[in-house]
Amino acid sequence: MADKGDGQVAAQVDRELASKEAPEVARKRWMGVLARADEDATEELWAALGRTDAYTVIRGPEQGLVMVRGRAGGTGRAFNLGEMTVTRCTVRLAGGAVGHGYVCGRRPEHAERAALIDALMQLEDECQVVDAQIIGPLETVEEKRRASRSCKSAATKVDFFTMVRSE
Amino acid sequence: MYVPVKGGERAIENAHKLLAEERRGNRDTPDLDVAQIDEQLALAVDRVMTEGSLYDRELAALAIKQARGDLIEAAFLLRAFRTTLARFGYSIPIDTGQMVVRRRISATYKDLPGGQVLGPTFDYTHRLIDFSLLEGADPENLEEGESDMGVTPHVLNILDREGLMEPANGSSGAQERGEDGEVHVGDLTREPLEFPADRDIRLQRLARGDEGFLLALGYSTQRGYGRNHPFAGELRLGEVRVGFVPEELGFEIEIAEITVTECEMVNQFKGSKNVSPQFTRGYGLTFGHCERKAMSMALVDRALRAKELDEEVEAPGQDEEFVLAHADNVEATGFVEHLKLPHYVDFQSELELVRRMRAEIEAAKVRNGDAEQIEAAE
Amino acid sequence: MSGLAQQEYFAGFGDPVHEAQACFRSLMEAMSRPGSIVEVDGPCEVPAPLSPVMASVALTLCDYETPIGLVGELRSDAVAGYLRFHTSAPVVDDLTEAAFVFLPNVSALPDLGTMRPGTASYPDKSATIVIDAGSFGTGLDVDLSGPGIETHVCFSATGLDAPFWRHAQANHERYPLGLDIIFCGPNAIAALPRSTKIEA
Repeated sequence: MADKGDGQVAAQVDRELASKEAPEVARKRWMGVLARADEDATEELWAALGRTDAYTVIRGPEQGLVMVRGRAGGTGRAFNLGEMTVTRCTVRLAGGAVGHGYVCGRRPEHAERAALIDALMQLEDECQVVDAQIIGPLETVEEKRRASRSCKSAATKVDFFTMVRSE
Repeated sequence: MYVPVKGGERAIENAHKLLAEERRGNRDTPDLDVAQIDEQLALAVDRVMTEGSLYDRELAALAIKQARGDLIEAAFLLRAFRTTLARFGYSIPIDTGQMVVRRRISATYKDLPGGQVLGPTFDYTHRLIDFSLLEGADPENLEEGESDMGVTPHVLNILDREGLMEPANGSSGAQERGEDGEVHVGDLTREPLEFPADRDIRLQRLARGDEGFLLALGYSTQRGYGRNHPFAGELRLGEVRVGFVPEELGFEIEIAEITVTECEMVNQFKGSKNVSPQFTRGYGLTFGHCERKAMSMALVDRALRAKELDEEVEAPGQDEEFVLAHADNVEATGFVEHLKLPHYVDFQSELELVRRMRAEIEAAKVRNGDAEQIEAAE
Repeated sequence: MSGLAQQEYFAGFGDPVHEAQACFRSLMEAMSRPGSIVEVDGPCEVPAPLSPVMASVALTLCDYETPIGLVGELRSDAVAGYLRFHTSAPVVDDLTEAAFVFLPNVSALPDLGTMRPGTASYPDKSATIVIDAGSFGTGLDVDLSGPGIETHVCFSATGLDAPFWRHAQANHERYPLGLDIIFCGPNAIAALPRSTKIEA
């Protein structure tokens, strides 16, 4: 009985943690998709959505650097590997929602678009449509690209076989 | 005395125009597209990003075009460009264990979880010139395998579990922590290089270092100048996500997916008073696909750990100051190439000095000669 | 961090590169001609009590590598959050670490000894103080002379009283060490570099 009780408590704690972390996890997902996404593909999906939201640019778009870190031996002591270019932007919708865009490379227009999409994703009435029409499709494209790359490499996996000496 | 000299503006301007003309070459040949460099000279782009210490494929490709294929000049251009940008901060250390691998081999184990994946490699090619490329032949249709897109574990974990492998941090233990509890990671773009250097600084310096220099040093350790019996424990190429915590958000987001090459060397270690015999590690990590560089870096990283492992420091590859002070090709090229700049005044003073010294010797000879004659006469 | 996440956002420069360049040009003009009044525009949204001109100076001069000290009413989450967000500069409590110290008025001026005056080898490793001075041409008149001033120039601003000018003259006497001061008015700035001599 005690086990079951602990289990129930643990499950409840898990649920509470999940609900607390969920918004951050969800936002991490779509911000990541936008950061890596192809600019033209994003613009195409955005245009298809046909939105004309009024917004103010609060910061940027600003090109800058992030120092990428690695770890000795893959898991040990952190060290600075080298920098990468990143563009960021922050916008505020007329309604007050603030969105941030952090995208790789030197892509000011894309960072601004990513910030706008991030702002819309925070509106309860809008997020489902924007997710379905922009984030989802971008994610699918990315997954396909990764899978294709991975499958091409998989064909180069070595199958070892032992030579049997025939008498 | 400094004698200011002006002039040469027109010659310089025309030299730049001539450079642009030569860069373009024969106008009957199509102009080189930056996307072509990015795609078809991808390994040059990777090297320039690694040694220029800036991950931006388009920019590196453009720098290669501008530098007419001079990769050190291109790395120099990237280093100069980065100084124009603001630093947003530091990434979360990339997790190469989560890499989606495109190439992954181990010379220490035949069968290992995830298998030996050759990926796009020059290994096993015959190094015969492929004349079909002259015709612009299309590559053959590619066979596709089954990929589970799963995580490929690091090979060295296998030895680690048996206790035969030193921990990834080496024997130096945990990283020092600052007053705020944050781990301090040295950064050569912020602080000057000082000796002795910790491993974080050494690895950063090697990661930015010249491939040729590290290759030669790595090779020298194999030939007996600081031998440490290396095996390529694992070499992997693939994509990893870059995490970053923007302060205004307060939680981690992903800002990019980048390609990196990682090499872990396994080296023998006979043990010391406090440590039983075990294997030690050398580590190499680069942007893009820079396999030779990653391997050389791992060899040199291990060689530089000599002092930490109570080994005798006797070879160039183990000499921290020698290696780290000369590894950066942008610094090296700056100092070597500055010899081209006018040193007219310096040289004039040397010239005068040499003339005076010769004149003094001549005068002394004459005086001695006179003396001899006088002596002879007497 | 969580405080920042909850903050209210104010826009920075609308055209960051050109507005920062224009403000930098004004700062250079003001620094090279001490006591002269040079016009500066500010961003339209700023969290009180930060003035638009002071915001403009901060957005132009501060970055990731210049720790900021905030004094008096400026030490608020809103102001600190705004400056962190737009400049990426760390906000520090210990003024000896600050490269720039921002004051809402002269009366908030801490002991000048609490801010870094540079070192003999690196006199440039000193703090720059940015003071909101209300308006220029009111208050105690002083005579400024020194580099960048042909003969002498008459200068005054709200709240700059005799004790302040005594401190400022003491600061001048430490030259080449010492602090540089920027005064922010409603839509202009004036500067008092450490090289300027002050006479009542």
